[in-house]
Amino acid sequence: MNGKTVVVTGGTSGIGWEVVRVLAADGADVIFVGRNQEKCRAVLSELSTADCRGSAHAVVADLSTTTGVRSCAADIMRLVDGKLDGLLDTLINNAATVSSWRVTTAEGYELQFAVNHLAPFLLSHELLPVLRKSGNGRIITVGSGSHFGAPMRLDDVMMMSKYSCLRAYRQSKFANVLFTAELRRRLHGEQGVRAYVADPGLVCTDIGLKGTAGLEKLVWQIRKRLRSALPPEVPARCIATMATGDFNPAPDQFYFRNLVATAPDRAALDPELGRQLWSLSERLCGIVAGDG
Amino acid sequence: MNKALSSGTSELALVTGATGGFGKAMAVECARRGWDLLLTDLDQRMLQLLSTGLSRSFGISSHFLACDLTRTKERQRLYDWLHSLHARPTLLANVAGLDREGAFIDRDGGEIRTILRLNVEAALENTLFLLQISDGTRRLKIINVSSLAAYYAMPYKAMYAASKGFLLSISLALKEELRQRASITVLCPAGMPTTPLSVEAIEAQGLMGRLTSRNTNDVARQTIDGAIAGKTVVIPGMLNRMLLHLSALVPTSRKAALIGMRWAAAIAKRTEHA
Repeated sequence: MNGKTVVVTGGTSGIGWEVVRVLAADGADVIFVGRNQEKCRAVLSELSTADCRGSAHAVVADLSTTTGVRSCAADIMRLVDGKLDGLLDTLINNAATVSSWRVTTAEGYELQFAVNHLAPFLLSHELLPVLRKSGNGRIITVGSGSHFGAPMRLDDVMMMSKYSCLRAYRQSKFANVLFTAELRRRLHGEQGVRAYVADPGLVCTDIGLKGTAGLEKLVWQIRKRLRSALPPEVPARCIATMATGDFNPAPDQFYFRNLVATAPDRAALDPELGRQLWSLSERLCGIVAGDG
Repeated sequence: MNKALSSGTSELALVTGATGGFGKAMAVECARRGWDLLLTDLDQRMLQLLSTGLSRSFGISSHFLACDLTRTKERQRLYDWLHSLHARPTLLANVAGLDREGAFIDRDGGEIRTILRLNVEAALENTLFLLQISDGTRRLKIINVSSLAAYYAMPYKAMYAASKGFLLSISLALKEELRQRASITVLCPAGMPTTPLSVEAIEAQGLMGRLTSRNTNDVARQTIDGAIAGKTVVIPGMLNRMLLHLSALVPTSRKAALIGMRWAAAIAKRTEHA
């Protein structure tokens, strides 16, 4: 990892924090993004006392709005151009949220769709030019097995009718896969940047306990306590390996679980659906991303 | 800001308190119906974000003005702005409102004036202004956001409940006065998960909190459907309507005593934890 520069969103807790810790220990220059300044400071302080061969830099940002994502990208670029060597090797889109109630962002967008899909979409768009410059850039989006069989309601993507916490979460994770598939198509097999989805499996994190209540909270609590639930450092190590390792999967096998490349839900490979989500995301983000 | 304001058959909605939880839900619901928007609230940046987001999502035209509706001069600035846009809103959603919880004796004059000016005075003056500029070709729809608290005397939330009671009462009266010129719909919701704090408050009430609370977008849709159908009072949730009817069987002073005990205990608990 020596000399590699990696951005990790949602880097102050759960899987993200473990990815930051592993990468920094292995010698990478890590820029992690967190919403809470205090938590970012705590991560920096913890890493300063740990045995790290690399470095860590914090960016405080609210990824729930497109202006927040743009400002985050600008802060990352300032760090890349200033303290680091002007190159960015990998973006790990890890930040995600869950909400029992239908909550909207300052832009009026449904929170889970905004944070879990629009933020990775826009941040990838903003950082793509510098990732290309590295010659071997990576965009890794942390997905979820819950995307299998998830319905994508493009006619009501913000779930203004019949909102369900779990359905919204699964849809946002399906959107992660659909976005990655479409990005790969638009990159036309370009070797300068590769895009993958990392499925962390069933992990012991607090993601489902923060914005949930009642039955949803209970389900996440049970899920977290299942014996099969992995500690976050296990998927974190896989994601960290994906950040720089050499992989050459078949075109449709960009979905990684335990470093094994497999195919995602077949519906997420549908080019028409991918194009429609891309076009909608561009409109909601106020950009024309074109061919990546 | 973007394309010209709507004309013709589409609605033009003025939403106050537009960037807060329920105001935002009302703005989103209006935009979903393809209606153009005039938004106002305190924070210019938040208004800009919402306005841009809704224009991108629904392709509507959205204009905004940051102003403090508790001040007479600021309200005049809002009305001058509407004049300058040649805007004649066909729907007014008086959402801006404040809640102050705690013992009345701990309040100061500023807090009393602010809550009354925003919850009562601004809503009335906005209503009057829009009625005066309405050319009569379109029937104005007025939505006043009250609360279930309007039906009760509420110790420790006394000013808030009384101000909402005022809004309910005057809405019912004006409905009769303005029958030909405007429709008035008054919304009396229970808790809504509009902010992290309100989510906490709902969850603190346990199962009852969850059963009586509704997603803000569902309440907004029901309210606008109610306004279109000419409904006078909208109380979202069957359980809330049932509880309100049942509470009519209890004497007002007894209800006030029970509510007072409940809020006093909640405040004591919070003070203990602080």
